[in-house]
Amino acid sequence: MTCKCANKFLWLLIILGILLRLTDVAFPDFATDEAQFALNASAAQPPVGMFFFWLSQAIFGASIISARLVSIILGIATIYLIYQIVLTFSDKKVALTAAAVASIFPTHIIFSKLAYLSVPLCFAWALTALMFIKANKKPNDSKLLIGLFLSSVLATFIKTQGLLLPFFLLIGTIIVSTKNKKALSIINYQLSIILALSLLPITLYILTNPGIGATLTLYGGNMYGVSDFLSRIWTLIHLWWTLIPLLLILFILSSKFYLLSSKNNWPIYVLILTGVLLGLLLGPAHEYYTTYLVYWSIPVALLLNRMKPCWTPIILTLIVVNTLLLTGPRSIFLNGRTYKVYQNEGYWNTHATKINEVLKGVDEVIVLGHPGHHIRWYLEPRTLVGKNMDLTNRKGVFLNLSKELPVEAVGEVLYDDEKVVITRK
Amino acid sequence: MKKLNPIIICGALTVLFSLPSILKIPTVMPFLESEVRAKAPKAIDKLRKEGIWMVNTDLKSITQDEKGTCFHFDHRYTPDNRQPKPENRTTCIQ
Repeated sequence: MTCKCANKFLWLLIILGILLRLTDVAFPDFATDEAQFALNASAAQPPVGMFFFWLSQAIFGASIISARLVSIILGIATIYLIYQIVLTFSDKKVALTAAAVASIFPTHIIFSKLAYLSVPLCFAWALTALMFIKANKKPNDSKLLIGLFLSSVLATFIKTQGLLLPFFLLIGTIIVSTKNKKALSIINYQLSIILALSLLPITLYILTNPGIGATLTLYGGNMYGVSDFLSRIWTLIHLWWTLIPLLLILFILSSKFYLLSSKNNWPIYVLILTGVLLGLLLGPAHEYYTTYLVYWSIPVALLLNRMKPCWTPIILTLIVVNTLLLTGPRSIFLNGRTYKVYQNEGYWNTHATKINEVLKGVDEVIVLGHPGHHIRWYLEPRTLVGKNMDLTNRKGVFLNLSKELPVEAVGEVLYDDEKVVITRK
Repeated sequence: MKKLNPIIICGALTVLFSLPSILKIPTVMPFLESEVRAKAPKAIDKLRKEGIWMVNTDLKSITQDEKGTCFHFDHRYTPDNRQPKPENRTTCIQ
């Protein structure tokens, strides 16, 4: 392939990736986490990520599409940041290849169409890494140092775990200084101070918001941490293999670029490894952590650049096939490998209007079973969580999510389908 | 004009971004007492028994008097992107 043709092909892939982020956006039901963030009500997360969802809805109206628009925009912006990161140490061709791989990266596309906080954090981490690399190169540029500070604070205030990357970069800066066998040089001193300062607001936020500590305690030793380590690794690799087999092979083959990287590129590999560690330490079965694997596009682009030119279009085409099978427009590509939330129409998207008609005029509904936050999103009346309430002799309207109607909710049946029974007592 | 040191600017921004948390320190100071820490989960259980979504509550203050240790919350039911006026919820544990 000639150079011009190759560039056109890469641009085509970038455009394809952007278009894929715009398809079937409203199709899946709002998941409980998405609803929690879109409703701007989470005890476990700092406010900035949720503020983005609020802002989008304030501008475009409260809707699933408005909330998910935040992920779409920041997801596309992340592709540009990856391009810029690669440009800091390589040429335009490699940067364009990395952007193309990032653009068609299946798991990043999937979560760019959902209102989780992972894509906003993925964006903020890429921005922090970029600012760090640039500030490291131009130590006298105050704007870059302030940019690094602001992007780091942004990352920490999108999601609590956002503090990991600035923290690891801070540790890295100190290690580099120690390895050079000299006291902190001026630039490392400045970078260290700025990274440390950027971690202070979130530290204070965590200390003064007991909900975050309570959530950590709730999951502590169970989901978070390194307990049952081998099982965690197995779960993680199994998940990656199921979703992105070819990219996993390419990532392993490109290991020399991050395991034996030159010392100047260490921040990039801290970025990549932090993305990998997140899933390992915080919940290997959680698919939204695969969003951060988009950083793999950097070493994969370096690998493709070292291969014979004829291999690049073949490999990229295979990645596109994987992407289309997993998250292509469902009207064309619906198949057994299609990502689970796009397999079938969501229950709440298709039934909420009907249920709200039944509940018209009702002020309060007691929800029985295990309600997610999406219940508040979809139902117009105020909802109460029934599972902890004393419902003996309680009168009212009950929405039952489990198949068996509990004795407390037995009364006049207002609505009954395969998932929900509504009664009045 | 002499350029400001970026560390000084970032230091000032750190104070600015930390201000909401600094102002909240008096609210959480009572948690230093083990008795308050022990009673907090019971207060949350009590609120849960009323059927409210805990994510809609915001701890405003903790007081200790003859009623016991009282946790004062603001509660906002968030059905959509509106921000309704908060209602006060107090739960006391002897």
